[in-house]
Amino acid sequence: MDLDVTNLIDSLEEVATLLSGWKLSTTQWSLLDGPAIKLHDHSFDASPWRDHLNIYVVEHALPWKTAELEQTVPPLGSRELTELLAASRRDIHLHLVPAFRYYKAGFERKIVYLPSGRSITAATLRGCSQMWSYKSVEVVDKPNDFAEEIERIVAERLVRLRAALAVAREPDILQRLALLERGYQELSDRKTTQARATFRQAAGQSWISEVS
Amino acid sequence: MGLRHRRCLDSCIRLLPNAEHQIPTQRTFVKQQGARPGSNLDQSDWAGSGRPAIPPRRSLKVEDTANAELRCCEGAASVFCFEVEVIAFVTRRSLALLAMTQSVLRGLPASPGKCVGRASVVSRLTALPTESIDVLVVKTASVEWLEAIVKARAVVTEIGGITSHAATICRELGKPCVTGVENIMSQLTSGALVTVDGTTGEVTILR
Repeated sequence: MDLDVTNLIDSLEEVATLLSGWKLSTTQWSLLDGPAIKLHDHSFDASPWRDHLNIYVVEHALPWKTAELEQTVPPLGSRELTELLAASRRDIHLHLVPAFRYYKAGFERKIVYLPSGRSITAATLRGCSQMWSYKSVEVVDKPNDFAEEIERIVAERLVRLRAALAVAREPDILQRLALLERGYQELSDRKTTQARATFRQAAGQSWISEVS
Repeated sequence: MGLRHRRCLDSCIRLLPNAEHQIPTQRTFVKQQGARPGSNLDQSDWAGSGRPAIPPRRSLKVEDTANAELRCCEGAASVFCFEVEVIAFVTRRSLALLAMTQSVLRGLPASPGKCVGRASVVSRLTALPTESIDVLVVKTASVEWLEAIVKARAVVTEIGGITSHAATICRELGKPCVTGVENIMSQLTSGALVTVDGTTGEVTILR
C-alpha cells in the first residue's frame, strides 16, 4: 500500500521535533528513499519502501557514539532510546543511518517546510539515485558483510529502481538508474567484477575519491 | 583383565573426551583436589562428588594426572571394576550431555555474547509477549521490531545476514544475535530452553 502524504507529513513533524531535541540541526539529517521522493512528488509510488523512515544522519552530531555503518540506535537506558521507542509505539519507525561518508561524497537534497514552520531536508530523486549508487558500491566492496543478503538486496533494489525509473525524466538520473539496474542484474548473474565497475560508474568520481 | 571388561573400558574411554569440557571428570577432579602424581586418593576425596564410592579400605594412586588415570596400589581385579564403574558413571553423564546438546543449529555470528534462556518464537509483532523476553526468535526483524529487540536478552533470526536490522541493532545494544538459522521457526517452540552464542553463531536447544 502506498504512503499517505498527510500521514507522512504528520510523522515528519514528530521526527523533526525528536531530532531537534537531540540537538541535530536541519543540515545534519535528511530523509531518503521513497518517502523523500514522495514528499517532492506526491504522485510517486512509494509502496516498494516499507513502513519505516530512512533518516541519514551525520553520526558525529548524535548524542551517542556509533560503531555501525548501516544503522545506529541509542544505547540501552538512554533518554534517546526511550523517545525512539515512544515514537515507534505511535507507528513512527526510524531507521537511523550513520551517513557522514555520504554527506562528504554529496547527494542532492532540498529543504521542505512543514506546516508547523519547522524545516527538514529530504533527498530528491537525483539525490536518492546518488545515494543508491554509493550504497551499491559498498555492497560489492564488502562481500563478507552482505554475502548472505545479496539475493534479498538484489530483489528489493530492482523493484525500487523500477519504481524510480518510472518517474525519472532528467538524463543524468535516468542514466544513473539504468546503470544501477544493469549492475544489479550483473550481481544477480554473479558477475561481481562487472557489477562493481557498473556501480562505480554510477557513483561517479565524488564517491571514488571519497573512498580511495 | 577379561575381554568383555577390556571392550567395555575401551568404549568408555572413547566417550570420555566428550565429557571432559563439560562436567567434572577424573582429571578435573584430580586437578581440583590438587593431587600430584604419586599421591593417594582415598574415600574422603570422593565424598560428596556424586561418583561411585571407592571400595572400602582401598586407596587410589594417581600415576599420571595428564591422563587422569587412577590405578590402585593393590587388588587389581576389584579396582578394575571400580574403574569401570567410575568410567561408566562418566559415560552416562557424557551420553546424557550429548543427548541434551544434539540439537545444535548453526547460523551467522551477528553480535557477540552468550545467553541461556527460554525462547519466544514470534511470527508477527502483534503476537509479541508483554512480559520480558529471554531469547526472541523471529523469521526476520525490521526496524519495527526495535522494541521487541530492546526487551529481549538475545535475538535469533531465520533470515538475514550480519548487516540485517536485527544484527546491527543487537550490536549497537550489545546483545547476542545469531542470524540466518535455517528453519529455526519450525524447529523451535516457545518455552524451549536454548543457548544462543552470538560469537560462534550456534543456537543449542537444550530441552
